[in-house]
Amino acid sequence: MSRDICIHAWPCTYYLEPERRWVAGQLSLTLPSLRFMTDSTGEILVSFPLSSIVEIKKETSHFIFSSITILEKGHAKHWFSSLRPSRNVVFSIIEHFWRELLLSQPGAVADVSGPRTRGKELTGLMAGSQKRLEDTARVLHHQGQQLDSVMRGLDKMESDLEVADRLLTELESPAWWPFSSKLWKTPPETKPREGVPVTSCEPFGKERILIKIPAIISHRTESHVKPGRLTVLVSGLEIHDSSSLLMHRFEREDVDDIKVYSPYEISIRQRFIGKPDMAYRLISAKMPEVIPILEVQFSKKMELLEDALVLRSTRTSSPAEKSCSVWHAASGLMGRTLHHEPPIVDQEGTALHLQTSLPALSEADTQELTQVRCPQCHASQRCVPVFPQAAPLTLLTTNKLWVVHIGLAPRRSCWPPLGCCREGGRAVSVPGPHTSWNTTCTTFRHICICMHT
Amino acid sequence: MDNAGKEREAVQLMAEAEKRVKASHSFLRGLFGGNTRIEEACEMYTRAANMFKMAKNWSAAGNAFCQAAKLHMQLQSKHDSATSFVDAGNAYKKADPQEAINCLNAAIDIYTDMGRFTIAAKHHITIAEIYETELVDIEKAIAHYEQSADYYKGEESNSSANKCLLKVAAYAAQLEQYQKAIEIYEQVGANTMDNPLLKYSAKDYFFKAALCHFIVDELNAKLALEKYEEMFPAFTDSRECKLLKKLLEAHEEQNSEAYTEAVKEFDSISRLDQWLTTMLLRIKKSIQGDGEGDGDLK
Repeated sequence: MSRDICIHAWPCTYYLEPERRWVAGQLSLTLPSLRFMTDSTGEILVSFPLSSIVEIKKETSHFIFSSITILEKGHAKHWFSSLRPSRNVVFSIIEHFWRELLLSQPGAVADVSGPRTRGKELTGLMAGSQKRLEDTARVLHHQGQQLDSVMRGLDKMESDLEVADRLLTELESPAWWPFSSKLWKTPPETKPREGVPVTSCEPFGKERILIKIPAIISHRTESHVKPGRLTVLVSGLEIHDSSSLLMHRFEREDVDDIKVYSPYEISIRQRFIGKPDMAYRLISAKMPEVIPILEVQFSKKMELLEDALVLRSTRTSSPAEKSCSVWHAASGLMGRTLHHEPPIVDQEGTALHLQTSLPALSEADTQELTQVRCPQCHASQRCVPVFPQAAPLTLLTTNKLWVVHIGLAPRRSCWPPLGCCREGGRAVSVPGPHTSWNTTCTTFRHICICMHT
Repeated sequence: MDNAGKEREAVQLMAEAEKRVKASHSFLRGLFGGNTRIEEACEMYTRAANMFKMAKNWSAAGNAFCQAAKLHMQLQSKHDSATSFVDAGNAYKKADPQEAINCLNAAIDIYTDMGRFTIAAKHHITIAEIYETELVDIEKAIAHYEQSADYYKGEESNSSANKCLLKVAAYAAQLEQYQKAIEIYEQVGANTMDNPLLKYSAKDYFFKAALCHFIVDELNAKLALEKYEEMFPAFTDSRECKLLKKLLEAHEEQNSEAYTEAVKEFDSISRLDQWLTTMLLRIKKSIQGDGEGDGDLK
């Protein structure tokens, strides 16, 4: 059987790349190959075997002329245009013969299996719809991520607006006003945060110290560096020098941005109009412990820079975790320095088992946490840290009714009641006696367990 | 007729704008209000560009936008400059792809300088698409897709990054850089298999990775297939996995009929796309290698 019989030939034009012009001629298809011959000279300009075709596409040249492009192995692209009788016909014939190379046996008998059975058709339908659904899921996920980034952008805008607002109030207050501009116009921030009973804030007071670390401090320029201490309070940040003299106090709403240069170095800045910014740069070995707390307090104003981005990339390695904040990464660092804690036993001696594979809390932290009463029910409580890398956490309770609050440690006043997760976790029911519950605690730092009788 | 009028008007505006820019260079003007002159010129260039657009004179429109962008740069308004460069790129795209790429690259430089990596990544994709369709320089398209994926990753938009990487992988496989393609497909597959929404497409990526392995070496493909099944148990039940097993078997026996039959059966349920056709053909060729080789060489 001769393989060189011309199956079909179509008049068309071919684009000559080096000369940048179209030549008229004939495109002919034989079983093994495709070739183009010019009308004028009868010269064969292109000839390549069908098996070297990588892709056949319908495209338009110059946005008007419909043409077929064939990508050949080795990345030569051939443009054929002005196809007669029509582009679609030529396209489907060429594509058919190309696919048949794969699908048919050389020299085998023709397909005798007959028409497709109903079952096969249904499977085909199903496979098609499955494919479409997969595509839909992909697009949906993509859009979700786009929305996320929109949210991030909005957050940033909002924080910038806050700064602008503060500066404006400062400008609005008359020059003779001797006090800080805040007194001139009561800022709206004084209203309580949504969903939090005002009373719940009282037991701690605004001046409660969250964490105190030694640090090396430089003011504005990096030339004079001196040792000192950074204190994170509920109401702001205090910077003391080595003799415990207060160098500066940032009120919480005054801080304009906090830049995290590395897990050990941050700078805090307050902007002013008409005078230099108040900026401090702090280096401390204990910074990784502070960053998570600052992250919660100043979430919108935190900014990760070059080296600190490493934190971010290590954080993303756990796919289960989606909420974006630095402290996830930082607490990973923290976890390494911590040691294991014995199982918690409450006052009555009932054992509480926390089956978790997590690093436990440092002693200092435990002390700090156990001093606090539960903001929701004011009962005595135990706080158990849950790190973001948490495996599902199982809590077994015995005898007593336990109420579980989940939340971020430094802002206890914001804890939601009864195990309703605030940041997108799964809601859990109130565990009664002898119940256990499972939840993937990826977004929560501490669980506080209160005893109710 | 109307278009010609627009074009004439645009040309006049361009000339006027040029005059203003020149005037702003003179010493006295430079001292007093040189900037306002430039601002006016900027606006005129933009208007002229829009008129050229209406007249469908794309390269002139691109040129006008480019001028506007340069003036914006002079006025220190980076954002406006970048936007104008993008407009210029879009206009040039229809007439002079190379110039369009230059403009978009200028815009990208500005955006990366401002830290707007997501937008920069988006324009990298545009450039890659131009290379892909207009200039057919696949290697450069790949480079731009990779750059874009890097930027997206840095900005935590993993799904956009994956999209770019998959393009890279598809082209890499076509260019016979199978190792690169395999790495990408495996990485994307592993990333997506834990995601509740995306796990349904993971089998596709593993299938493609295994096919690339197959072209390189049959044994590799076998090992890879085992690895994928272990990593992602749902893969075992998929049609793709079954097809792969049949193909491997046929290949081992050098049985081109069984191979074709398996492919045919798969194709009868869901039509193979062009990428798969190419890859499967390459494998088939390696089976036919000795018997049918002569026919192909013609």
